[in-house]
Amino acid sequence: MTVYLCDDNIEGLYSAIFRAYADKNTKSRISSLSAMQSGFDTEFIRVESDPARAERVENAVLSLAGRRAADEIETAMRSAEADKADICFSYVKRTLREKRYISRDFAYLEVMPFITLVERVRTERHRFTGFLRFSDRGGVLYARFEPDNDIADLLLPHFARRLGNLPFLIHDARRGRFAAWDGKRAAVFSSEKEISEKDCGDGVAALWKSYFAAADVKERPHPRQQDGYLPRRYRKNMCEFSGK
Amino acid sequence: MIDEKRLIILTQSAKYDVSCSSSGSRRQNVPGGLGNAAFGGICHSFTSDGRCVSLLKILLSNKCAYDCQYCVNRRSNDVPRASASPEEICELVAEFYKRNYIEGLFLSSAVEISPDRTMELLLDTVIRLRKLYRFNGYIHLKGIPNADPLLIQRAGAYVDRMSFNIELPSERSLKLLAPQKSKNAIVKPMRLLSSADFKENARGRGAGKFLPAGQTTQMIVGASPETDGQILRLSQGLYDAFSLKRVYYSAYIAVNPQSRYLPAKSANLLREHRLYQADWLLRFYGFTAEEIVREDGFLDEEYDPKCAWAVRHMENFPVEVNTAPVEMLVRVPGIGIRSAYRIREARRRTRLTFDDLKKMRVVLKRAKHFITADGKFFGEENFGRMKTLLALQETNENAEQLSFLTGNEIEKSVITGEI
Repeated sequence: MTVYLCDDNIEGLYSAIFRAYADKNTKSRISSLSAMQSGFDTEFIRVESDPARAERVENAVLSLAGRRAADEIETAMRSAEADKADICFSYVKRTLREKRYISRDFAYLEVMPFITLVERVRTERHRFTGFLRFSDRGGVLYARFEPDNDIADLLLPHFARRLGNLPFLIHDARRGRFAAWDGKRAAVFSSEKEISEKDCGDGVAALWKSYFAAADVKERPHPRQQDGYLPRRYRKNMCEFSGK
Repeated sequence: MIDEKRLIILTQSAKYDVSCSSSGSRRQNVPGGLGNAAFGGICHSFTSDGRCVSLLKILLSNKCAYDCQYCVNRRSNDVPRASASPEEICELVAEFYKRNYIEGLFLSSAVEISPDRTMELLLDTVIRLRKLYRFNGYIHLKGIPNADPLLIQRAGAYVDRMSFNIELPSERSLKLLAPQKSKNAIVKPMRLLSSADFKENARGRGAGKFLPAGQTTQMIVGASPETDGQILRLSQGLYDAFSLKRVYYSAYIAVNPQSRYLPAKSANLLREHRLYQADWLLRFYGFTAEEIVREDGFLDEEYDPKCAWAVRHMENFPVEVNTAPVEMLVRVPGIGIRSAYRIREARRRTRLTFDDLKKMRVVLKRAKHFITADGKFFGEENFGRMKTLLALQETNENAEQLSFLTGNEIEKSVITGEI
């Protein structure tokens, strides 16, 4: 079994798909470098990202299945699932074979796993539009979070529309990714820089904690429902749950 | 800024109102403004009672002139009292909103001095928020029964949603437990809010679209003797007559054990759960209240209302998934709106088998007794055994549902109301 190893992004995936087709080896698998798993008879081939080749594959997807399919593939590649690249590969192969948009053909073997990836990323993005917590750091709103999937820049437009002139910085501490807004322009960058932990800090955060505690209906405890809706792993960056 | 002590009092006085949704409005931000509304609503946190925190749910005052038996803020109750100024509320909303703690404001108040005075203060708060703070986030305003219609109309032009709480599902119970409120004082403003003339006249007075997220109401269940059938028929009437977005049901919590008119114990939560399930069936699944309830006027406890209906109407089943209309598919126990949609999409190209349904993640545990796929039936043929199986599954699911589902699935089912 051949496994093409690609960079962990959309360009990497498309470059590897190009290579698999060029080698006439579409029975192979594709894995992102970070999720590489060796097996008995596995032959690994490292594929460097190549913008020109990636673009050719993307254009093929665009012309056969449209913008919606390309967006979904881009979204799926933000997933934290180990086999996302291979799931996307299967989806693209079927798309190229059917020559149309197939995401609603739920009975196809390739579709449900792919759609599940897309939905998980979108759900997590939606959740963090609510669960992200900003603190006021001298006029800049700063939010640290640790999402499962790579979604920091997907949150940017939502908060830019909402906060208008207020500058903010969203920090994915797991990946060292930053999404920034200065009131007019947006920027996305990577940095290993750690921003000091400072709790949510001010008196407003203290009021919020009091509010949160007071809003609980103690007569009707339902912590399992709370856990279902608000996974515990997210809570360490939410000030109403921090003991500080 | 409001102090912690008053914030806690005014929050604790507001928390028994169950409405938490921030959906239904697409209000946009304006240059230099703060906030917008997300049509699907956004949950910002969850308290340990499992409820979502979306809006800053607070009273302007809990100093009430009324003495409604079921209410924690009734005049005769010995609880700490407080009030906040409109400015204090606005400031708190803006600061909370900037930090993404909340999606907006859910403002209500006890009737302090008079209904008109109270409504004026509520109106002052929302106008201040919209005009001075240029706040475009979500606002849900509780209407005060007996307040002047002009005040209610003005408020409707600034807020996203308004609600007048029915509280008790019959006039008799209202007279007994909330003597200062009358059915007319609650229903009249609801009718006004839904009338076209009222909306039209409100234009030009305020800040744009009239109540983009419509109106809702709430009923307390188990404080008075009404049956599920009476409650659901009332809800159905409200949806039809006033185009209500939602009716909330709140199992009575014994906040007044001394009252001789009220049950000493809190009401059964399963009953509230079944009413919500039945309510989804009314709104999204094409059922009527008459179809759902049993002859004695109550909902079954052992099955969800859709399953109970199907078991009573086995003459309609099994249905073939490849040909049944979507309206019939959603009536199959275990097949929700999403699964029905998936089936409809997928069967355009393929003749679906049970294997295909599994691949599509259609949950077949219950559905298999009510469907055929490509002519094949895998359910239980013995009616008695099937009923036992369904009841057992229901018990297990009630106990384990949350540990089974991923957060993702739960959220979806909340949005689509799937059963």
